[in-house]
Amino acid sequence: MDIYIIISALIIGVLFILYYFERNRRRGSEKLNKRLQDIIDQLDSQAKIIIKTDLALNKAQEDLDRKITGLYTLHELGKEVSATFNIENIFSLINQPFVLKLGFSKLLIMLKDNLSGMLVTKSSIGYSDAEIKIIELDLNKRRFANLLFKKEKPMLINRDTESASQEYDLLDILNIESFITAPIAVKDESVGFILMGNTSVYDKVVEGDSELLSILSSQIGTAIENTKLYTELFGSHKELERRVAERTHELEKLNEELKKLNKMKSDFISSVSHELRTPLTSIKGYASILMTGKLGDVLPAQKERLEKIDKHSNSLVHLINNLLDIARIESGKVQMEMKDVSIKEMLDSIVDIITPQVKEKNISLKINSKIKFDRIKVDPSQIERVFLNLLSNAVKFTPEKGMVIIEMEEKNDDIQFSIEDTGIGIPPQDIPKVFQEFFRADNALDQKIKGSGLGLSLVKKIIEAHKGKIWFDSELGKGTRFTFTLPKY
Amino acid sequence: MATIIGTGISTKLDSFASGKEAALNAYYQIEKKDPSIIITFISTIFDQEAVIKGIRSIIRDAPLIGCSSIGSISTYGSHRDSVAVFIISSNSIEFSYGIGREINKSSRLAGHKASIQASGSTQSLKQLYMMFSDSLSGNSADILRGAQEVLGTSFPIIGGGACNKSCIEKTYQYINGEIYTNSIVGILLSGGIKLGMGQSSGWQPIGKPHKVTKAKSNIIKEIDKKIAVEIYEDYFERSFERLRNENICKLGINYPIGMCWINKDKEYLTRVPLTIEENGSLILNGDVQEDEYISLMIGDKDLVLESAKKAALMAISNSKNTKIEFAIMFSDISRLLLLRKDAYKEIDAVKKIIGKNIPILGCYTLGEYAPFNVKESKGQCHFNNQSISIVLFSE
Repeated sequence: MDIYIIISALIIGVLFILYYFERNRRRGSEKLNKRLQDIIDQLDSQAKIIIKTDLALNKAQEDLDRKITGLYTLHELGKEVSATFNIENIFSLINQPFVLKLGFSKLLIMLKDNLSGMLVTKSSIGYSDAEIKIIELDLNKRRFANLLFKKEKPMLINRDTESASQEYDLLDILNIESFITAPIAVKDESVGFILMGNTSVYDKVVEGDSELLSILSSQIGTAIENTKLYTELFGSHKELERRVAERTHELEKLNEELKKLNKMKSDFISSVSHELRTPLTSIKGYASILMTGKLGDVLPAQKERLEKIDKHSNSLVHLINNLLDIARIESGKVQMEMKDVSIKEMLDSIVDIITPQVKEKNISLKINSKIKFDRIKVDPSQIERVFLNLLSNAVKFTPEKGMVIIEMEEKNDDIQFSIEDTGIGIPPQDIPKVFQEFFRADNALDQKIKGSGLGLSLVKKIIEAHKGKIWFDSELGKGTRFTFTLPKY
Repeated sequence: MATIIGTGISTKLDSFASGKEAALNAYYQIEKKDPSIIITFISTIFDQEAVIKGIRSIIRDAPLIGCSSIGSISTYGSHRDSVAVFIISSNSIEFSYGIGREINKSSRLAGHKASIQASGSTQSLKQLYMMFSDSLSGNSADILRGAQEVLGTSFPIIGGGACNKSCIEKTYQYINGEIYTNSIVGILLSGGIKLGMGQSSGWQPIGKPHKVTKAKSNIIKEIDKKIAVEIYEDYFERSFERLRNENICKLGINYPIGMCWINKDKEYLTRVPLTIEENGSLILNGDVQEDEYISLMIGDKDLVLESAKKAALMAISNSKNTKIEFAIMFSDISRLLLLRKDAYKEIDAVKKIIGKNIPILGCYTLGEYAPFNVKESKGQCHFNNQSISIVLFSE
């Protein structure tokens, strides 16, 4: 019995010890689990901090990206806008990809009509034509212009912001969740507005968009102003072009008339000269016969008169010949007989002719030649006339003991001749008329010196017939320098 | 060369002109040879119809297939808001295609129909199936299951979910120049080609694991016996209303839910929450099993670039020393949003491994179809998110 009691006590004792250890183990395990759970929870809390930081970083990067994309897109638009001066083209550049790239789904650009003062849609994205008609009606009917044309910073409206009822009405009219709008100003005056927005509650317009919209509205305003200026300028340019064309046409007509008149004049001079030359020859002939005394004695007084008739007849013949030559050259009837001649020889013979006059006035005549090749292809008789005319003029208008210099030099394919004197010079007011036919300078000396006023005109015609040019420089009281060029070949 | 690829990328803001420019550049690159197929990825900022018209103004008759995307991937780098046209001219690859519609009604049936259509006409050896689906409707994992019913569970499938700038706008799928939505389009590549594939994600869990206590298909109703949305309320300190207003998808792209598929490769299958239901359930873009342990996931630039290298090395290793002709690459939209202006570095990392002159065609997707190359997967294709998948082609 005692054994049973002892065994039972032992079993109870062992069970108690086992229970004691198991209870301690469980307590330890629970403690460990609790510690592990605490650590996991602690790590989870740290994870939340990491996520919060990561979110903030992502948001900052997203905002920056949006700004960069927006500015880049506006820059691209700016380049396109500056290349066009058509206002409709500018609005067509603000298309769906452009609006979506900026992060919006709706766009509305409205301008005030100059005549009616009503708002008219110039561009829209995300609305049908029918919707646009309703929006236009609503906006014009309910006078939103004051709100939309406000000159302050862009206005941002979404359904969460505390706004006036008029602004909420706009959200309904435009069927939109949020929008941002800015006035379009031309020369500080609001002429319309641009509005961009989103229909999604998830993608609301944010404060950062106001900068982009300000730039865009200012770009549009400047573009409208530039287009207007360009249109005005283009209009003036067109008007000017039209006037110039009109005037040119008138001048062409006048020129034709002048050519006709000139031809008539040449023909008239030619026929009159021919008509004059025949009786003049008879007069000169009869005067010569009379002077010989074959028809009876001639008294000294009569002889003197007959000599005058002969002399004046010669002058008249000379004048008529000059006139005939000018007329022929002008009408192209005279062909230059081009010959290869020595410049030196030609000049020597001319100097021989002019020398008596030079000596008579005690004038010093110099020749400065810088040419290496002494040949030129000209009509020698005509070019001799040119030199004689210019030289005799120089001698005529140079006072005694003056100086006349002939210079020649090569200029590319031409030879340039100049005849310079220390004469009285040409008055400035006469300079444009020097090559005109029958022109005689208005000075005392010129009135005394005889001449037809055809010499320089003939000279110019002969040089032009040789494809050369003639011009002159003159200073009153100091002298004149006539320069002309002749092609070498 | 039996297969040549022409690449054209355009960022012009005129939709028609953009399509035309991209197509013209690609067409010149294949030296105006007969195109076998045109694969195109178009950003949703463009008028989709006008872009397709622009492409068709250059190449009228060749089959055209593709989807909308936030950006394109090519040898020339990463291009957001672009039109990408890839023209393949090949006498060794046969292309056949199919479409499955109304994936919101039955994703599995749509996936099934598209692959039946694509595989019906081909006589050559089927090699690879590439599919693009609407990522915002239906269940992408079910679409894949539908395709696998036709092609087999071990058949290589790649592709992904068509996407756009946000998670609320429509996505588009293109087949033969027609534009669809709520659909899946697939191209089957057959013929004498060899493939090397690789995929990796790089996203890692943050915080403690949680148990899915109530779920059905792609809807998680409860996590740790609490309403599912609380996991986001808790970690992001945001109210239910705010999470609904701010679009959970936008948040979920960067912080998805990952299934703790513990393995030595540390790869996780991830799911993006698309919407929150009134009762607080999360609708994901792929399914999750009940009693599965999940974690909130987080990405990092270095991890993303590291995973790109890992995927490229895996693809090279699977190519078994063959001469690579070209590559197809899909990268998740989350990777682009994380890398931002450094997105080119991901492509550069891949080029460094596969060869800098290898033509690459691809785009950014919302979820990817690819073989999940870990032991537990045994090379079977899965629908994953946050991943990069690469296929190397040799002949």
